[in-house]
Amino acid sequence: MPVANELSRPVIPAARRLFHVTLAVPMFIMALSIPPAGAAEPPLLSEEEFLAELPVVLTASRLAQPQAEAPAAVTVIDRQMIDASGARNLSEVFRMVPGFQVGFENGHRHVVGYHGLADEFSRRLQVLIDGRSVYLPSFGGVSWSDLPLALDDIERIEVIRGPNAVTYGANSFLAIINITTRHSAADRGGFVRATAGSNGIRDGVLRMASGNGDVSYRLTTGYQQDNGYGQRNDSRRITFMNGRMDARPGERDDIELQFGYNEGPRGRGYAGSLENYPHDQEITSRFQQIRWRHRLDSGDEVAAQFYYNHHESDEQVLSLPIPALGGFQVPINYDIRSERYDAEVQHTVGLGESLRLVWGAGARLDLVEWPGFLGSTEPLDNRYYRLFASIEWRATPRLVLNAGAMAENSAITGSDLSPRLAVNYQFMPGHTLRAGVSSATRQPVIIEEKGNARFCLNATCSLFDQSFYSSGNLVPERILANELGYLGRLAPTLTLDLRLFRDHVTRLITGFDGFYDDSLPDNEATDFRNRDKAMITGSELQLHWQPERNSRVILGYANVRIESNDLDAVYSESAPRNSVSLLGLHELGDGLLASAAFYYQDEMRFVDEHPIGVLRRLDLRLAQRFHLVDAQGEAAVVLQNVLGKQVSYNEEDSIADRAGFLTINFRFR
Amino acid sequence: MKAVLLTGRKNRHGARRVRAGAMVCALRRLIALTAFAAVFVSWPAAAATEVLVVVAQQSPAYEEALAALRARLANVPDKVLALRVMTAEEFSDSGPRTTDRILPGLVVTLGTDAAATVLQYKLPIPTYCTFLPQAAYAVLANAAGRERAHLSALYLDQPFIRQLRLIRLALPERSRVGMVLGPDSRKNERELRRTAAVARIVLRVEQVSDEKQLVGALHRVLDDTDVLLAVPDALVFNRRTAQSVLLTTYRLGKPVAGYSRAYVTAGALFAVYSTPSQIGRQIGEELLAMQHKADRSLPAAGYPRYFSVEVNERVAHSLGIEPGRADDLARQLAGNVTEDSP
Repeated sequence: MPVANELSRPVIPAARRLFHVTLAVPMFIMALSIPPAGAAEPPLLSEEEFLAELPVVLTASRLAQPQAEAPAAVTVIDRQMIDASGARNLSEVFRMVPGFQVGFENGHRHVVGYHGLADEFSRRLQVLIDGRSVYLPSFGGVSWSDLPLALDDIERIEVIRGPNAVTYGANSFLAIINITTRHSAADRGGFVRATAGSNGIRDGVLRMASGNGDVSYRLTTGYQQDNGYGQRNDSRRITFMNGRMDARPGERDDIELQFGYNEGPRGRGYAGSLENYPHDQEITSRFQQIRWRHRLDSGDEVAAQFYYNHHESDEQVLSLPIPALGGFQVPINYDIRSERYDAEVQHTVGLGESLRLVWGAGARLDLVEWPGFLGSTEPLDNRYYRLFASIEWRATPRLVLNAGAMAENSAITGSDLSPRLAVNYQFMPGHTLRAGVSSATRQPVIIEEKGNARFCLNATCSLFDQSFYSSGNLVPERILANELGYLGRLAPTLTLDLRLFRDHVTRLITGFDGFYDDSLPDNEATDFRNRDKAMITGSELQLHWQPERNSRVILGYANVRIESNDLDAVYSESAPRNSVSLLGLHELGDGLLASAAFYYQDEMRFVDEHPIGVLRRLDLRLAQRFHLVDAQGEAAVVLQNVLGKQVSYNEEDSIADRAGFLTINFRFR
Repeated sequence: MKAVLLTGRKNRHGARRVRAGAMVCALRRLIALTAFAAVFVSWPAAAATEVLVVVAQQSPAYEEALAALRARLANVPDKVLALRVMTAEEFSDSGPRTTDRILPGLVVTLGTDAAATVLQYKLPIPTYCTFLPQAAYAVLANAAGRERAHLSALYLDQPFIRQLRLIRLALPERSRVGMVLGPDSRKNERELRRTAAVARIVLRVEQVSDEKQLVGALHRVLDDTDVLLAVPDALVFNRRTAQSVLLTTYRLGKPVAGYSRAYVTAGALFAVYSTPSQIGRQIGEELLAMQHKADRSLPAAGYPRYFSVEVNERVAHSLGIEPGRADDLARQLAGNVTEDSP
């Protein structure tokens, strides 16, 4: 497919600005125009309250599937686990999920991968925040430091281990991280957190939430800074703000509006480099989102959402004088701007007591402006459409069948179909077996399909170096995942989740150094091809014991084996053979909570990186809750990496040392 | 036995309309007082006591309760009670003046409106208010002032301890109960806390003063509790708010212990409640018991003796909860003998 035909400017800037204004203004007008509560003479309580018929609110089509009937393995990370883990960054909590690897390439580029296959841009995970995909269309993956989100805003995280394109859309490839933020009515009043620690850690969060009746809203603003690994120029200063408003304009409708903004400098570059010397990149990341849910008379539901993501990295540097070029200073433009517009509608239909259908459609427009790496000063775009339908059929009270398919069409890769089928059988009360087969695609990101990174000596571009040159014509990667699962309640306080998997990944898009031009000092440029395949097999276990509300032990284990036709074992060694996570938390009494998280993983290496040896990591946290006048407070001390230096991403310069911080928060009405 | 069932025009708001007409009211009260004071001395001498049953209006629920009441009285060989049924409107319009021959020895009201109507007249006749929420009775009894000696009630709602016991039985791992109290229900807060402590339940309470605060309060109270116990409140938990309550709690993954069968059908996980016929049966028993007492005094105000349990299996399944079968829960709950305190 000719690349040039895809170039266009489909949305004029003025229209985009108008859109931003139109979404933000009514949100706050609505938030501020809450009518005062009226006082009325209370009527006497009538017996009718006990006798009157009520419409069925939780109809068959509104009831969610219990985990035992879900077509995939799910790990839930709740607020208590997030707190107990001692995580200061969202990316860190995924260490608790069986099969996940978390590495910090530098202080602000965090890599979260599942079952390997991840380089510094882990492109094979879908990450959704309140239904909004935060996957970057430019280089792929998620820029975890750039999300305008405080850990304190998160209600829970569900990690779906395995592909599920039907429910979660494109790129729901190896796994899906589904983050739900707290409802704005949940935190009325104020919340403030201050954190300080080693290595320049200075964080603050301020949140105000208010509302009345059918409208509630929340505004969170925060600051986060640290020095990264310390010895490198990888510090970050993050300023962010987010807002959420929930409204119920009528009995049948729910509307949710959100926006977020994150900006600040991130340190980049290396001492000694001529063109990538220590400097800052300026990040601006923002989004707006609206979600609407409408309940129909029939008990069915229609939902629609629209969101806009914007991610921008400003980074233009002039190289230091390059001796080989007679002291010439090469201008280098690393600027990237990516945008995503996404709309989706979904209809949930109850077809009798035992059958439910969910179907819908979505459309997406991605725009990426990346002059230094795409060889174009104009934004490149990709249009993408999807149709999906799935049914849940409870054939008998013990046998549930989930079947579905997603059809997608991308302007770059054409059409694809991703079906899914799973059967869950409850062979004893509290014990369920699951067998499933699911497929999904990963769409190539723009750098893979259209990379063209040229470094010029002058305005007419006498070529000095060509670092990327994509031959294009990529097709989506495909995964065919087979799994057998068991979910059991071994005792009232003990649950076990077991999974055996066999994922066949084909048409893996691999970056490699291809021949470009002999006349250049470096005659190779990175190209991308659907070159490799991998067979990922193994097992996962998750054991959850909760003898008391504030006493829990959560054990995770994964065994992963990757076989691939790769060169230099880039994929086959990209996941540890064995990995263990163990989280324990216990309330010692009088509001004193202790928790410890231990992680072990066998040797591995991220794609195209140096090996990471055996990893043993221990994080400890001790927290005391207290009351201060009208405020509830909690002070906690967290020690990370207690066992000492650990290679986090690569052994050269991504080595995490011991760190500690003190964090204190107050919640007040 | 004399059982006259009068059919009257439907008037749902009978009682409130009466309250509005203050002048008419005062006049009627005067007439009524005069008429009833004259015959009061005859109580409890009459051989067959006439019981005047006042219902707000005709409805299947009252019919069901009345049928159960009659059935209970019919089983008794010496028919010492004669039932006479009229609507609250008929009572207001004609009751006190036109009661012919025998005047009632006892008034039994069914429902809040009937009780409100009858109690307005401050008649010096024993009045047994049944089939009404405890909160409504508390207000009415308070307003009745010095006539309270002749007043008692059989509530329609369940004793708090019974509701907590059901939660204990059905959800043994969930010992933290959240409640949102409104103007009606908050009056009992101290009592609720005491009872919860007895049942070793951690109770978290949010108070709200109007419907608009409900969703926020639900989020806060469910933040660190395992189940929401809904108690009816004219302003907060009611038919209008049921949808908000059920949707909000379900999205938070928390079950609701409701207070009526309808609430369970709508989406609450379970409820303990008394059916109209269970109430009717108990009214019958209380009336008979009165007849056997020397002073024929009214029973103490109390909660229903008979009750049912309903479980929403679909909601339980979706939340991954196994509360047990409704029949078993009801049987186990009835097996608890020490639950007379509210």
